[in-house]
Amino acid sequence: MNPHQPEIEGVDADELVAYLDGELDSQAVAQVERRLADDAEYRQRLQQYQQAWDMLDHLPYAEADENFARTTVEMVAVRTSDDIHRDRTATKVRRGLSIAGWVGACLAAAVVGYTLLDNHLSAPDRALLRDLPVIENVDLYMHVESVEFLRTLDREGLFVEESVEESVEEVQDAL
Amino acid sequence: MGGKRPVAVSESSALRARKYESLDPDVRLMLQVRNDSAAAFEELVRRYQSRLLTVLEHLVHGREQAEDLAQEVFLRVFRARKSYVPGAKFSTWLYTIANNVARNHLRSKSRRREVNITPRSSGASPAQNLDQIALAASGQMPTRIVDKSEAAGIVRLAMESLNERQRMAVLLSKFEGMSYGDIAQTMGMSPQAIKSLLSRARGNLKTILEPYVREGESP
Repeated sequence: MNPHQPEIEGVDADELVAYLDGELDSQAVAQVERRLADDAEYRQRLQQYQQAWDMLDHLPYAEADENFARTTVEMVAVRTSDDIHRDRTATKVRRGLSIAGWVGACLAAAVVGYTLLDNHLSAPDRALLRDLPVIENVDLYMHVESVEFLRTLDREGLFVEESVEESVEEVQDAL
Repeated sequence: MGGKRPVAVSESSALRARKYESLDPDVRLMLQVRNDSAAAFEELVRRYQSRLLTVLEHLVHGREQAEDLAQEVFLRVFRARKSYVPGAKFSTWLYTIANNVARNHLRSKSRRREVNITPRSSGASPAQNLDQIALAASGQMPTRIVDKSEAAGIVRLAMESLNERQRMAVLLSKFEGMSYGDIAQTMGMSPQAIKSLLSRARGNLKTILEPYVREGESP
């Protein structure tokens, strides 16, 4: 071989290799074969590609040992079983988390609901308690024309009362 | 009009599935695997184990690694069984998985910066052997007749000089006899890109192996 022989590159090389691989359409095959008939260098390249390709026949074919299929199937069975177990565990965890989430949400809703309801229902009761002294004396207050007048009487001590218990204690102390 | 397209696509996909089911007995086996037939799966493993090991061994350079990867490929096949729809020959689908597994392996291996030293019968390192091969290819070293085992070593080193994609394409073409279309589908490339890839790969092999081809081998 002449080492200075120019390389066939690019599209030419692609076509030549595709021709050897039987990947060209009939028109391209005819073109390559016309050139092969006319061009000795092209023919030599074709031969070199083919010979180099044929040398790959020296590469050994692997032969699986007799246990390979069995061990592979066993390994796949074990790994698949692990997968199923993992999936089931994950499903259980997901379901548990889901149930816990729902229970938590229900509890939170109950607490919020109770608080809101409690606030809502207690408001009138608290108002009633606050206004109880007024309600108890509402008949008397009806006869008073001015709040200022009442305040004046209060300042003068007219409304100071002693409880029964206090009076009893005072009497006992005196005795 | 827009609503008709998915129907058309699914019809063509169903037609394709039926076509491969009728043409490829391994597709029929895989459909049995889809229905949880362990016997069909074992039969597929038996049919493809040596072929797959051959390709993987030349791809990752090591029998033990090739066996681990082949098992990983079969595991993925089994795990994917429920979603399997025949869209190609079974071998094309299998080697698509094998290509992904091998590429992931080589990528992680290169990340770990492992030095892969495969024992050679000559005792020389791969780098030394490649240097010798390159010298022979340059025409500066007198060529001599090589015996069959030496030829196998030379071809193996020549294969190792190819990049990962070129090597995979060559292996699928040489050992599996795949068409450019099938290789393209397996490697996720266009047939035109495969044509160029194989042309470059075969050009590289020709350059490296030329001195040995010229002088011939001893029988």
